[in-house]
Amino acid sequence: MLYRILTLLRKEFIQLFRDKLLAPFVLLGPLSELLMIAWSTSQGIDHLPTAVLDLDLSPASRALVTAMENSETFDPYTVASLDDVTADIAGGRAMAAWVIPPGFQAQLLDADEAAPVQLVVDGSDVMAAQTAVDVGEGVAAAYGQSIMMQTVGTSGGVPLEMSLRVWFNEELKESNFMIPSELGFIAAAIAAMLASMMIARERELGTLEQLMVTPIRSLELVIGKSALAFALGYTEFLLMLGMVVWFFDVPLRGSLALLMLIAFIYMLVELGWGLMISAVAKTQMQALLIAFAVVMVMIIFSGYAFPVETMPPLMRLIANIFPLKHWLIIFRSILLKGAGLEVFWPQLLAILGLGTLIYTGTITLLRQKKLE
Amino acid sequence: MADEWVIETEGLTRTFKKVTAVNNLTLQIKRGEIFGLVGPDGAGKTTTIRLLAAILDPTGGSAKVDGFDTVAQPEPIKRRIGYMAQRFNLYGDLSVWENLNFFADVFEMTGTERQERIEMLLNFARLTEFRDRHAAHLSGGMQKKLALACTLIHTPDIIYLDEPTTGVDPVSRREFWDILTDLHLQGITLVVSTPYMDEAERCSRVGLMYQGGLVVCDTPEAIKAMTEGELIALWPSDLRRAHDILLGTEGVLEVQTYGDQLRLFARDGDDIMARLQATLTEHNIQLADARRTSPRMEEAFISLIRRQMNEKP
Ligand SMILES: Nc1ncnc2c1ncn2[C@@H]1O[C@H](COP(=O)(O)OP(=O)(O)OP(=O)(O)O)[C@@H](O)[C@H]1O
Ligand SMILES: [Mg+2]
Repeated sequence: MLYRILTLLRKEFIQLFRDKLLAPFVLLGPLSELLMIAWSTSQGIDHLPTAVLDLDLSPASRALVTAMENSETFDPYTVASLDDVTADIAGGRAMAAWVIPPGFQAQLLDADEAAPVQLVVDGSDVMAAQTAVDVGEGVAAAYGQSIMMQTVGTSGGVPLEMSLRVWFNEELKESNFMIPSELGFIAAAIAAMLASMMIARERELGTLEQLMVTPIRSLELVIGKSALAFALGYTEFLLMLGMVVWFFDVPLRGSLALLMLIAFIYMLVELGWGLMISAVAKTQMQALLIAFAVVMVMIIFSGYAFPVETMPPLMRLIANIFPLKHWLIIFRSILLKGAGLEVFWPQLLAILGLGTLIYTGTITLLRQKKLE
Repeated sequence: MADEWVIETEGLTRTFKKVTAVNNLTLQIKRGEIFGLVGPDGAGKTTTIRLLAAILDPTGGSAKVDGFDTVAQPEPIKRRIGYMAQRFNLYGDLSVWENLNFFADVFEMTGTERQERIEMLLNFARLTEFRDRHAAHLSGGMQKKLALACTLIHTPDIIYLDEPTTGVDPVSRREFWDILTDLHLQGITLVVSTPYMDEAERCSRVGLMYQGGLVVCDTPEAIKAMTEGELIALWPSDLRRAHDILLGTEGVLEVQTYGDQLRLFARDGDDIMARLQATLTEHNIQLADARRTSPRMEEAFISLIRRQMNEKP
């Protein structure tokens, strides 16, 4: 059995390297996509035109505006009244607005009382709004922190890098976390798609029929054919992880070994989708289209594009049947919280359970189908 | 003598969503014979072969190959058979050599036996000088020979060939059949589907399929003898009208058209020969020639299928 699987694998390798487009496409495509997303989330959402209504006109309020400016997320300009704020946001001239109330400085200096500052954002651009909120919170927090340090008379408070704060989402808000979630998912989707296409290709070219009269069994065929796709996907994952950690300074707080192991399991589960598709698709084109549709549905339901919290309850419930949702939680916990199994074991169990379901379905389908 | 049958089917049936591709087929194939499966497009030849190759499960009935049931025991069957599909089914982006090696690997062949087998097959299929060429870049005839070589790699006892010479030039076709004859002489059982009647004539026995069923199954000689009446070939000036006129003539059983000639089955050959000239002249049709002849497979098949069509309208 192993020998026949290896034989298949060797053939796949030869074919892969003979195909001048596939390997570069598979390996470089997602990497460049990751770069683009990184670029658009970092470059795209900054210098948001920001209206500032400073009703305090104190050194403290001016310092806050400077802190905002330094964050590079906001491009503050001053307005005279609350009406201007509303008009500018409604008219699209400002993406965000700060309203600093009278007495801001006084409240700041009073150690007991928090200084309320209002941040208004244009909710129509979800990404920009989310970024503004996150950076805004960061700015306010950092500002508050430095003020507090001054009042207790301690020096050397470390000013926080605001732009980094948002990216890496210190508070673990699940929404604006495009880059890291991109990681495991894109790699898994590529592996699943590739596997389904590789099997569909054998069917399309008729070579599957030829393989069926050899001692190769369908399980061996599926393993042999998908192993390479999986290996490519996993390599992809590691490359992306390296890129994100080294180039984008995403923290890796948890155990790398644990992350790699769970990523392996998760990707294996997602591969099951690809194999299920391959059991029904007659041509490569069909396989690709079905895979795309599945990926779209996953994206919508899994909090990848929209935060799960904003979905209607029914959708939130449905989201649980996609391994992606659980993976995202685990991934973020390991990466950012440095969490271990004790935190996300329910999600891991969910992934394992879903994997069992997916593979049971896939094997049943493959058995049934034979040749049609 | 039960052992004589290497393939036996019992009411074999395969239905796809709407079509019944193979309908209640009961058939026996002898060890060592060249069995021809003949029939028009869509008759169910490919489906029958797939069922016998154990890559498709029947929806009814059963089939045994070398004593093994195709549904329950497909694995031992796969080791004994070679299957060459109607369509080119090899890897176009692998070379001749790599294709052969891949199948040798799949059948877990090793050592010198494997090397010798591959060299022998390359030689046998006359592909030695093309060993490094990608399969996709071979001519149609060479692709068929490579496919045959790949199906022979594990020295099967039974080989299924689905329209192996369709789309191949006449010279290559002849060459291909010479190769098949060699295999036959080695004692291998060959099941060949073909749309060509001259190829059917080279088989030990022939099964005629029509709409999924077996119309007749016998030696070419016996099948030819099944035709009713005596055959006359004639070359009239107006084929179409002559066809209709003769069909209405007393004592004529059947008229078939072939190129510029008509072939006519008569209850009494001499009687028709005597009246032929007069009948046609009466309708202003000239007759260049007319002679008694013996039926070929082609006439026999058309005649049998027509009879079948008339029986179940
Ligand atoms: N996988 C399939 N799904 C649905 N219908 C099928 C399938 N395979 C064959 N058929 C149908 O079954 C019938 C018999 O097909 P089959 O291919 O066995 O005929 P054939 O004698 O080999 O014809 P040809 O000379 O065209 O190769 C046809 O009507 C065909 O459309
Ligand atoms: Mg066919």
